[in-house]
Amino acid sequence: MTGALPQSIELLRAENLRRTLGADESKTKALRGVSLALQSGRSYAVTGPSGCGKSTLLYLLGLLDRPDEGEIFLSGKSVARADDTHRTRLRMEKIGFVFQFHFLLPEFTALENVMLPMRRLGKLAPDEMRERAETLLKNVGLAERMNRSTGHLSGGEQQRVAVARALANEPSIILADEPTGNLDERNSKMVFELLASFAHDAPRAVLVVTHNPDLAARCDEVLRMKDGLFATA
Amino acid sequence: MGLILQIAWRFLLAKKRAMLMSLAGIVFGVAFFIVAQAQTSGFESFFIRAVWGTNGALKVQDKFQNNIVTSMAAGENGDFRVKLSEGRTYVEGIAHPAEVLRAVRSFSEVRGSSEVLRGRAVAKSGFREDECEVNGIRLADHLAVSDLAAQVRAGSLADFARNPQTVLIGAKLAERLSLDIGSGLILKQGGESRRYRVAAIFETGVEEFDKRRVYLDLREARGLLHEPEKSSFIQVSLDDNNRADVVAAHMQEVLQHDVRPWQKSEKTWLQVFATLRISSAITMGVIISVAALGMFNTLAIIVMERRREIAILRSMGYTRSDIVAIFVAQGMMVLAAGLVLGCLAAVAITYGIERLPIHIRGIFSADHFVVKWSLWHYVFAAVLSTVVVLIASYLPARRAAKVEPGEIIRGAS
Ligand SMILES: Nc1ncnc2c1ncn2[C@@H]1O[C@H](COP(=O)(O)OP(=O)(O)OP(=O)(O)O)[C@@H](O)[C@H]1O
Ligand SMILES: [Mg+2]
Repeated sequence: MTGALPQSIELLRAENLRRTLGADESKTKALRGVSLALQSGRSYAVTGPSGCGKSTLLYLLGLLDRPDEGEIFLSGKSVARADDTHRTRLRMEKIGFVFQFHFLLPEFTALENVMLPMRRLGKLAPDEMRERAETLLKNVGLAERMNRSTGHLSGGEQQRVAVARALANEPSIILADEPTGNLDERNSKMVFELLASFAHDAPRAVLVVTHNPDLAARCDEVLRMKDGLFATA
Repeated sequence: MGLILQIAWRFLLAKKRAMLMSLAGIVFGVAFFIVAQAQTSGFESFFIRAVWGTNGALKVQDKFQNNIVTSMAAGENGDFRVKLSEGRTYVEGIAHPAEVLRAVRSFSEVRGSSEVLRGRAVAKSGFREDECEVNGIRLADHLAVSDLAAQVRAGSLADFARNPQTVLIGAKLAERLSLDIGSGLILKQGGESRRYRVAAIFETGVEEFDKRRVYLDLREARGLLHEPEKSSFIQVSLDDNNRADVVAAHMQEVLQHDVRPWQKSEKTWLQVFATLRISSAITMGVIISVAALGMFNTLAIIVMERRREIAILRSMGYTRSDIVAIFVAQGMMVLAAGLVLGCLAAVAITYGIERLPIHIRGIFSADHFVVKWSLWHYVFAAVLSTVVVLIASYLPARRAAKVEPGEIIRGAS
């Protein structure tokens, strides 16, 4: 799957991202000048050893953190230093984020968690939101667990709810930090297929951090990271 | 908004202990604030009510004339200087009471006015004698400027109204002279000595009045005190007694008589009460501050424990103001419950304090603790606690909402 769709457009571009974490003794150059571009209709895998800066990169791309240096363009517009209101709006409408450690609100059921971004966006009627959330949860194999509080779900189940939630507002960019880390082979495949198909259905891009070489190989492009840099192929 | 409230509500229910802690803080603060106010102002307003009920809001007394006094004095180096100073000459009492009474009644703020002739006399019964203060009044007028009707402990005012040979006598004085309803007593003044019967015994609650005061019919008093025309003062009650000082200043200019509002004549005691109020305000301020600090602490912890959820919500597109709104809403929910419980507790405690038996016989007499019931105490408590909770939930929420979500998540994982 090399050739991108002819009408493929650049959804996100990052240039020379640098980020230093911590202070004094624990000061770490987590990113040392990373550049990349995400095209619509394509899937990307980021691989690399633990501590090489994958999560750090994803937070920057997901507008959850700000780079010390470098630029990020969303649909051609610079956003790295945009004001918070603007970035928050972009997170809601354009970006779906799956955290490495499946972050859900434990006070809410699986269904409610998936509906939280939709309700904030407020584009659908309540019935439509519910319907969409149910479909998403069925797609990740949780039809039976929808009304259970997420505090009472297994790690893998929580991770799948997090994936469903990331897709809730039909974002054009999905950023998933090891979404299959806790899953068995069958569920890994299911979640991965879901994400990949999501990218290919519409002008969207999916970027997945993974340690699984099989899954990485299924992506349109694999980006290898080491010590805060992409390894040159 | 429903979404924000729902999130706030769920967060609240999930952390029961923190919620109960902050609830307890509010209930304690609110109840303490109200009870402290009720018991601080209790005796003061009791005293003021007794003063109003006995002496009215103000008194029109001595007539004065403005004049300019010139005097000469020797200067340091032997020359003479002329000193000019303005002064007033006072003529004791009211020479033309009917005229002044008419003028007083023309003031729109005046609710009632009563002409009083006051003089010293000696009261005698059986073997005992005691000094007393005779007050000659017209009963109907005087009832309009005092609570005399309500202060009667025994006997009847009707008897006093019908029969000028009767007196109304203070409870303490009656006790000392062993007088009862219907007993006879003799009032002596400057060689004059007249016999009377006790028609009623009154008690104002203020010692000073209850141990000296005797009321007599005005015309009868004129005879006893040898004072055919003059009156001592005119006692006045107002629609709003709290404005007595303002009205008095105005009246004084118009009537050319000295006019004393209660705020001036009871200055000594009012100052004592003011001092007490300040000292209790200091104590209260300290305790309220401690409660408020506790509140700040608890709410800050509630926000701290929710940093992860804040980051998640922010990552999904919840704005900084959404986050602040969630925690302020949470604070307001606890506040609403705390206010209701706090006010109920305050009512119960105030009620209990009011029933504490204490025996006071001094400037006033009471057999139980005196509290003041005022809706304003509850309103102030509500306003104060709302301000505290608003600030205490707003500040930490805003601080947490400012942090980039990635920063929080990195710290948490
Ligand atoms: N708060 C922090 N202070 C200092 N250094 C940090 C902090 N958080 C992370 N780091 C360092 O930054 C580097 C990049 O971390 P990052 O989480 O991006 O790695 P990663 O590639 O996601 O690793 P993993 O595969 O284990 O999730 C690491 O060397 C890590 O030790
Ligand atoms: Mg990571």
